[in-house]
Amino acid sequence: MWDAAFDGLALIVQWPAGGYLLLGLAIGMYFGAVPGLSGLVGMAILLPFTFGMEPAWAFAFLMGMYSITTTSDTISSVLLGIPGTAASQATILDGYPLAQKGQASRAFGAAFTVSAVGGVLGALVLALSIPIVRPLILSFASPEFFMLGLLALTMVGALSGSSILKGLIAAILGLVLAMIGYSPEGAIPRYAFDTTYLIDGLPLIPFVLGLFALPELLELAVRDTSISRIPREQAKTGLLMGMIDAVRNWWLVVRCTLIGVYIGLLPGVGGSLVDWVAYGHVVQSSKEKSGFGKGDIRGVIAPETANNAMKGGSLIPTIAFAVPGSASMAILLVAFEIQGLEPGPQLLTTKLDITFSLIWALALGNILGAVFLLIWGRQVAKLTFIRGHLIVPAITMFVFMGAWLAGNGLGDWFTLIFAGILGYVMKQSGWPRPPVILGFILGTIMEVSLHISMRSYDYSWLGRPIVLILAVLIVLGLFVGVRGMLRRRAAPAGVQIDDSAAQNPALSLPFAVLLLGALVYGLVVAAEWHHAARFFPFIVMITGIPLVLVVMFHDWSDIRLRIRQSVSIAGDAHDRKLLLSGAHYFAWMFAILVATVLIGQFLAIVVFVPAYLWYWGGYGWRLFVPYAAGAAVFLYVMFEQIVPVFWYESLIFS
Amino acid sequence: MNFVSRIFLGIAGLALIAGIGAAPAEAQFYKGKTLNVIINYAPGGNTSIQGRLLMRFMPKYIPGTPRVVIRNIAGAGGKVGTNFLGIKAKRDGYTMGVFTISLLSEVLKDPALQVSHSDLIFIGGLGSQEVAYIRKDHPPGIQKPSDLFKITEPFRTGGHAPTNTKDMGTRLALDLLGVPYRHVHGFKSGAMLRKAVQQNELQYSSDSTPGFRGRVEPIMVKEGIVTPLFHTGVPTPDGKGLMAHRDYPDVPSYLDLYRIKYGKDATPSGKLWEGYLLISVMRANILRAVFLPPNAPQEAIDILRKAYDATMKDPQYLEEYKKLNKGLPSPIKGEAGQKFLLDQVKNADPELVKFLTAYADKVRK
Repeated sequence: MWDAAFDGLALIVQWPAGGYLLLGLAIGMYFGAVPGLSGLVGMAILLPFTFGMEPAWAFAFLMGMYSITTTSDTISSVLLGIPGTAASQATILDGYPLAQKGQASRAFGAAFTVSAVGGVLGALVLALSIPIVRPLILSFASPEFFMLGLLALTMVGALSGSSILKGLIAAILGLVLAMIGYSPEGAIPRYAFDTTYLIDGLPLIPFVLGLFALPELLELAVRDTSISRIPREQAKTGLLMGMIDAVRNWWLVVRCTLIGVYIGLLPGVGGSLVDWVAYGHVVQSSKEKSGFGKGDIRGVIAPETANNAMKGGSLIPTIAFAVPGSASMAILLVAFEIQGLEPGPQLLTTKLDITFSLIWALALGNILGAVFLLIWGRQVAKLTFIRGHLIVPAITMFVFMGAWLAGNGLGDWFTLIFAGILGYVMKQSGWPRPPVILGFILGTIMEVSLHISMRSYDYSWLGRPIVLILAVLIVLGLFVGVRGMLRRRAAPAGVQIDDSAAQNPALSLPFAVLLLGALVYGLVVAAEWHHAARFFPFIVMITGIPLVLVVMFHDWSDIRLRIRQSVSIAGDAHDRKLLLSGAHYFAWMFAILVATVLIGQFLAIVVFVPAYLWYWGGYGWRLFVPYAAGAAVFLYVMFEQIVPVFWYESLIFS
Repeated sequence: MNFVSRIFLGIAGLALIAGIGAAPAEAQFYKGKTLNVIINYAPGGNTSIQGRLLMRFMPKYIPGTPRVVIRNIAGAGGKVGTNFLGIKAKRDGYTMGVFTISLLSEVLKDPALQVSHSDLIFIGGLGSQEVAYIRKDHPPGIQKPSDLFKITEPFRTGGHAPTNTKDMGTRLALDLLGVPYRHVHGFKSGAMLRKAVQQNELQYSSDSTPGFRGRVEPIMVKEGIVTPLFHTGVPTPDGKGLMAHRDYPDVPSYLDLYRIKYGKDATPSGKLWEGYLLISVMRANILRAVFLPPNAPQEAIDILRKAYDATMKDPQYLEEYKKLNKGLPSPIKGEAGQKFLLDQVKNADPELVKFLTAYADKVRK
């Protein structure tokens, strides 16, 4: 084995393999940093280029690209509050507040350091586990996956801030949204409202971009502050401090590495969940929780360690027996095929040096990537001190194009804007948003595995050993959650993650009423379906309805209390102004849509840029003309040359 | 020079001029243009692998060598991409689909499919075999295909959805053979099915040729986890039967296996057989297909059909194809394929369609 490890290293540092590794890194840095792109898109795009390469070159190229995307995705998560890839959604919760406090550099220092450490440790675990890993993965079949999903849902408690109840309902909303489209047994498109767009379900990327990015952009537009709320001169903490933070929290880094590797091992769970699990873990396991959601560096360290460590983990089932640990790994399997390599015995015996070249590429990619980003990060962090109005047009362009990449259709923009409004209302009314995404991702996994479990084993799957162990963990998780809630109630200054800080019963109550209506409607519609299609919806909605009723009761009592005490029920003047501006802002977003239909997508975006700068920012042509020209060039190079999209054809200029 | 030779030369000259005239016109169509290629399944799956392989070689034979841009538009069992090409894509000849098709969905009038395959312009395609396999350790132990008939305890088979070609093919084949099984659908991908077999959650599944050659044979067959049972077979010239495929000398064809049970001259009949035959003929003729949108310019159709046919003879392409599939492709040409599609779609026996629709419904209960 040592020989193979050494040979593998030799393969990867030789020319031109080393050159391909660097090229892959450069490309991957970009794919991670741009929201909507990801390691998966990168793998798909780079794969054809590996035809005709030597195996070591090909893997250096692919792994170099793949290793760094979950490091560079931190940039937009921290600076913009937009997840760079699905694996850094949880990084936003504390990374963005840190940027707002002028500590983006510190967040980068910590994140890049732990990304490298997590990535290298993940690769190490991969190397060590190769001989022993197979039984572990094979023991997770559908019943175990269902229980795993349930266990993940109990983490909602840790993600939902001051109101566990609202958090649970938000997760249920996510589960319901995941039901849109064909049911696992494939007979009826559910809740698709006779549109073909929804027939295959709500697409994740536009939904996530809308739910998290648009409300942040709105706030930038309305408040017109820079991302950092304090001026640059006062922002003292830097990269070095973040690196020290990383060292100080070494034990957390080790734990999150293990979480990452383990989640990577489980096929299909992968990237969009690992960050949440790690984040849930750090909140649950910390004694001092009050800083989470407001810029606690541990909230950045945990997900950023885990999402890099996950990659080593997801390579394990891929190499060991051709079960991809994630979608990107499915593409890597193709790369194996192109190289004429067979995952399984061959890669673990006669071609072990190739396997090690892969592991080395992953490890080196993680280290080099972090070094590049640490050197470069200080420059990037300066972006946080730029005036809001200057950033909004560029980011809006990224967000809209990122959403477009998913399906190349206007439907994705409707989803984006709808999710944006949903996210905005939730944010303003104290409903936590992260559980929605958690429920949305878990919904499909859980329903499919429950369906398969029931069809395969009837109820006998409930007695399987790992199912029982997971059941115990779920009960424990619930116990910890409830205990935490009771404690928090005793001490009001508890964890307040993300949105739950805002308490506005006058907004929260109508939102709850809407949710109740949606759940009842969902139940009524589902009653018409056959058993297999309505089984899961029934369980979810019937659980959800009483919970919503309790929240409505709370909000109503709150309103009455405020009336009695003559406190404004609709928030202060600032809140009302924010609401009005919100409506104004979303009108602009819809205007992009309408303009796209009329004059085409490219022009609509290029026109939006100067229009925004002139109307919202009050800038003159000296600024907005070059800005718009830059936007046009960027759109052309990026989406016509590098990642070509199908542009929407205009009515007028077709 | 006599009169005849003068005329001959004249014609030859005209032909030459026409040839010179035609060549640049042909070369002009795609010159400096982008050819957008849509693949209707996600990256990493068999469709994408085979499609991207094709698109590495086909552009060589398109005069003017356009820039080729490949996009995966996946969802709803390939129907999202198919709908995109039929409805949304520009019909100027610069957008093309490289698909795995489900003709059965169209015949069974699946509401998710909004275009008819016969309305799309067929450029070229490939047939494929489906190979079934079962876990060796299912009691009383399956060492060879005929051991299937010793089974008394039902095994579990897997698929995607009730009307899916794989699900229907599996159930029809096993019902005809009269073996006990329980069908579980809801698996999202071929990879999930293979994993379930490795975990013994399922005992039986099947894969198209590249899936079987690339993912099943090197692992599950080689390690002794599964026994290959049968391959579908090639349609006989009259289309009424199936015969063994040249690339599967070690695995019996479906009819071979059927005859092990029912006698060497036995010929299946009835609706189950008609259904199985329909699916097998569809799959063996066209599983992967290259399409242009309806009403695409004739010039583009001609150029691309020619390029497709040339690619099927490209030695490098064939070598790469062989690496992935352990056999040579069974291509079908443009016009023949178009006729086949129209025939399958328009002339489907209504009685059989009714039977298959009810048969698919049965598994939902």
